[in-house]
Amino acid sequence: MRSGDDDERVRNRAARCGPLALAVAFAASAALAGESAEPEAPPRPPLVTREVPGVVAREAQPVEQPEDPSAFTTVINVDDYRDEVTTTADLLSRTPGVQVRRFGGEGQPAEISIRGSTPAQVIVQLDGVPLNSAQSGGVNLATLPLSLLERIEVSRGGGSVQAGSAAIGGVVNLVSRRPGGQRRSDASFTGASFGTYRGSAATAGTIRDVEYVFAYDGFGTDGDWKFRRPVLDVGGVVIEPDPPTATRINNAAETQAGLFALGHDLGENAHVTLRDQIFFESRGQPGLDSGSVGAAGQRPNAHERTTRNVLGATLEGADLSPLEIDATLDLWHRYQRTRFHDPDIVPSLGTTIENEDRNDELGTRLGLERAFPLFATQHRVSLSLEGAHDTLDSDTFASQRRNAGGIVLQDDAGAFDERLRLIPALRWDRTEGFGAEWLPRIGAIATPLPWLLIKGNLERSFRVPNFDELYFPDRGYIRGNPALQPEQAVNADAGVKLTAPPIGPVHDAFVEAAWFHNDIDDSIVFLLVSPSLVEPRNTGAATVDGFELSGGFGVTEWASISANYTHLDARIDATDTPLPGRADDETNVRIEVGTPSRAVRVIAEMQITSEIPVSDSGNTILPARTVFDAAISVDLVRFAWWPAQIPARSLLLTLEGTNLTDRTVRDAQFFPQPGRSFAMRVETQW
Amino acid sequence: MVRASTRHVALLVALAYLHTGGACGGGSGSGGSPPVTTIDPPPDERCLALPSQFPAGFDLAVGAPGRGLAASFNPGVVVPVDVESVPPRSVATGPLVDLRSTIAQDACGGFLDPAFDGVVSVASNLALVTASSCEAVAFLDPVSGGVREFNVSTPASAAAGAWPFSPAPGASDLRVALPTRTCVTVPVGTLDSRGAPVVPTRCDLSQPSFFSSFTSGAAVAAGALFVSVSNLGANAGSPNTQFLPGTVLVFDFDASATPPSVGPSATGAVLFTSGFNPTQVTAYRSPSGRDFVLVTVTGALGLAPDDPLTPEREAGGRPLTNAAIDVIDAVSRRVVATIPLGLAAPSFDRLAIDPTGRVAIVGSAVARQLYAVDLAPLDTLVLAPGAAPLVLDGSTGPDAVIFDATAPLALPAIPNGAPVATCPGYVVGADFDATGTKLFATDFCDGTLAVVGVDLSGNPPVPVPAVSTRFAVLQTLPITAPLTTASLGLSRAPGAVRVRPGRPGVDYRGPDVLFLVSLPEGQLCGVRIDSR
Repeated sequence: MRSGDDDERVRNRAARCGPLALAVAFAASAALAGESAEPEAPPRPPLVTREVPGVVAREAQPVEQPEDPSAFTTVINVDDYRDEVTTTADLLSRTPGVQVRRFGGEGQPAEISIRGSTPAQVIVQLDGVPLNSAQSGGVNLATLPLSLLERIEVSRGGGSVQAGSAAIGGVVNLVSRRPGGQRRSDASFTGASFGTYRGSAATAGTIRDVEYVFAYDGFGTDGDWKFRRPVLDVGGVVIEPDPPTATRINNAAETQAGLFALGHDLGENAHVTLRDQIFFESRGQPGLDSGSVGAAGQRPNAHERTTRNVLGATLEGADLSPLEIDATLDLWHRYQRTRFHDPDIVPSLGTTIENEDRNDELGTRLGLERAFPLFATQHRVSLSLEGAHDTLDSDTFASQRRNAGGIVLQDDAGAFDERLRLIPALRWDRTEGFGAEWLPRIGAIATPLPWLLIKGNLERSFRVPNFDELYFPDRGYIRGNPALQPEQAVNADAGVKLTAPPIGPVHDAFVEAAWFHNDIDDSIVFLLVSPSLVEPRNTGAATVDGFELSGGFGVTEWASISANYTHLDARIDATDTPLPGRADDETNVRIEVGTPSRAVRVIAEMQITSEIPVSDSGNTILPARTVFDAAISVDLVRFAWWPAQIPARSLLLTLEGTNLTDRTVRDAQFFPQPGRSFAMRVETQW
Repeated sequence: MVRASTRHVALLVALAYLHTGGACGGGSGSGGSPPVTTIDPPPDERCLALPSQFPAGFDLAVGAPGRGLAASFNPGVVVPVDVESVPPRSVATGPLVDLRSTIAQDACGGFLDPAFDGVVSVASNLALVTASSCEAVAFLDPVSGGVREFNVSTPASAAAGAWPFSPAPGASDLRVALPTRTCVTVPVGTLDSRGAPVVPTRCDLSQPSFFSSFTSGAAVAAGALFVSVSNLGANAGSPNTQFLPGTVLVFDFDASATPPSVGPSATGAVLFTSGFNPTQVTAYRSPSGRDFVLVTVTGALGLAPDDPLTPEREAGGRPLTNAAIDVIDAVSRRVVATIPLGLAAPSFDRLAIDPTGRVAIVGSAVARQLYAVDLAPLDTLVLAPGAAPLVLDGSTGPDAVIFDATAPLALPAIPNGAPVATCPGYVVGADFDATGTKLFATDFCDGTLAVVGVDLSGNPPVPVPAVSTRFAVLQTLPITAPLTTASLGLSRAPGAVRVRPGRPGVDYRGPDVLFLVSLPEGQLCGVRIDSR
């Protein structure tokens, strides 16, 4: 007879071994398939230039995006981090202007803020498909497996002209692994503290002119770490928690994700890509640690399961006659189902919770672009037409439907040999129920000297309320507000980037400084509006000012240093109180030392986060912290002392320690994060 | 050969994975000094920051002039404070410890978190904290804020399982908290607030029953501890909350014994109130020395539904059943009278009783109003054994109603205050000054302190006439920001109010009126009204 504990152990083992078994099977099959594959087709040159130029250093660097050239953009090449144990949330958190708020350890939700925004004010796209659901707005970064990605593009500042509603803080575009090219495969396995395991495998190449990529990522964790509960200092009165420490319970998580993409040339000038990414997550929801009995008030049985599928097709054409227009047509469908179940009575509600939400989005985007000279200037004019239909079906929520669309016209006008570029743009956007919005933008880029780049932007952005904010069912203590109006914002930023030629052993040196200012009106905030009811309301104006500094350089071929610093002053205008949940200052420093062959590398990182106000007065404050991480990796293929020859392009062994000084870390008052942890990773490419 | 090598790599990778997976330990986030979450002093120099939003309660300390007790919800602590200083300051001599775990161990088997509901100072060495969820009354040392032990007993005559978290019938135990969860049985046909019959539950499958829940108030009178229990049923907090019959639990209580003792009364530990949702009990000694306990019976409450014909989104409270002030004779331990208030929804803080004991006043949880009753008839109240409680509205007893739902004492709203549609007024607390000529009342919605002049001179008739020469609003003072979208980040939502005994400037120098603030952090504020 099997006990409940046995069942739990079986489940845990399954969570651990699932990724392993799948990844090993996948790797083996990929290897075997590779041996019997057809001769490789030559790599296909890109038809439409969407590559991001200039990423040469290992660190994430500010670069220019063709679609939004004047935006302050950082591109993270995932391949640069494959010998580290890291996640999408980790990489984003080290990007200037970005703050990531975590609600637990790996596998638990994490949300992004750019330049002081709310998570719902950041659009997160997967290959151009918005992942923000019309229901809840924000995107959980823990649902974005890094191993399925090729790069991450982070554009800070208003992006509504390019991306539509919600891009008040910025846009994150996740670019999946691309199909095609020479056949290449990789697999990795990670084991880490707290029963955490991750396995991934991928293969890509071309067979009979059909480009392909298959990738899998599996993750599991017990998440049963101990944590110290914070002491409360109330104006000098010290209040100690009881119990002083606790173990995170019901914190196991399992994710499975797969990527499948095919590409094919359609003649000389066209190319089609079909891709699908499926993601499944099953995790406990331990909730707050604000109680005092049992496991400090954590919920022992609350559970959430999420399934998401993003299916997309892209048809690209270059130099299409007769006007030599580049064209891109995207079609996509995003489906997301979330089920939440808590079989225990929630004392404050007197009931259990059981609900299921299903979100669908069907969308399309047509982009046309043409470059031409006009008098002494060079123009690159683009026109984009977009449309999306969102639906929400729920067993606790009235079904909702919404159509939205937009038209964007942009010019990138260069003069003086492109040393001065003006990028005016205008978007007409319409969301069902909210009428039309005109969103102008003007950007400018000047490169008066080869080592000096100056740019700035002024634009409008907005965010339409999501279904939760509008229509959340009336529970008595909380409800939605159908009378909400869209959030409105004016974003301005300006900055410089300096690059230096090699000076002695120092090379690839750069410094970028950016100032930003956001005026946000009609911010939507869940407020207590009566003695017993919380409801979202459009509040008054808020202002976010700040600046970002980032820089880096290499020293000989053995070392590189990069750092960034972001200062934020986000305040409610009427009361001059800070917007809660944002740290005023965040600093990231990264040092890499290793052999030029990259056979051995040592990486040290430091993240300094200032105090975080967590109440709307700013008076309740989470402590500042400094967290150190370190990793060492060895590539046995390149390691000269390794006695045997390894038939692979690389075989990386990595040992990483996170939060080495075991600091207590919290981004939200009642959500602990794990202390020191270790991970070992093996990754091979062939 | 290539195939074998590739497999070898895959195997190597898998072995490394298996080896590392279980071997890595982790830290507990305990490096360095303990993490400290800070609550800075509020910008308002009159106020002391408290540990949580919506502080559970405040009371002036009995027998310790210039001292008070402020209870917080999460963490569950009671902060002893010096109310003479501006702002009030904590006089805790050392770190305070979250008391909820200790209380839960003694009151509900450690299963449920006590949600502190209020604090009442009983003596110089004793304060009581009421808690719901883990239903309990905890015993505190008002000087240190720590817990005290009482000998908690259960009468031998109690049915097995009637007091599931108390000592077994006939047994006793030293505990820091008194369990108030008991199995309440009612006659067949008893209806809940929705009009449905109460059904048998697991606490007694043989008859309609329910476990008491939502412990709301405590008072000591005539050697007994009276505890009001609201008995919310299903869907608590929703527009369709079920209210089960209201009860007041009665415990034998002897704080002077060694050790002090408490236990359910063997002669009847459960009294039923005249209506639903008893939210507070207030001890009252009549001018002739009779001890009573006045029970605030709020009635079932709901939320005003949105009116589609108005542009606003209504969100105020709505009384669903009648309210009353029930009168318990503390000596005979029975409900002897009830004073109907109609659909009033009186608020949940204790009654304000003037120093002469003539008038009791309470605010409204759903409107910017006060209700008042005349206590003079209680002094001569006589009820035959077994008789139904007298109704003191002139029907079966003298009329004791001064202001009720149909004729309340309205307090003025301020310009640009909280929107009427969502927050039409909530008079959280009221208290008389030492002379009995002024009453102070806090409004949660507008963030105001109303000063009401009260004239009870000249031996007025019963009930005291509800006329402006007797009751008149003198001032409405803004003490916090109103509950509007523009006040996010500012102090708002004032709560309970207490007025210090004695003459300001003569018997003490500090603030005379103290009140709680609920948002954005909990605060205890002191103001000097008489010095203005």
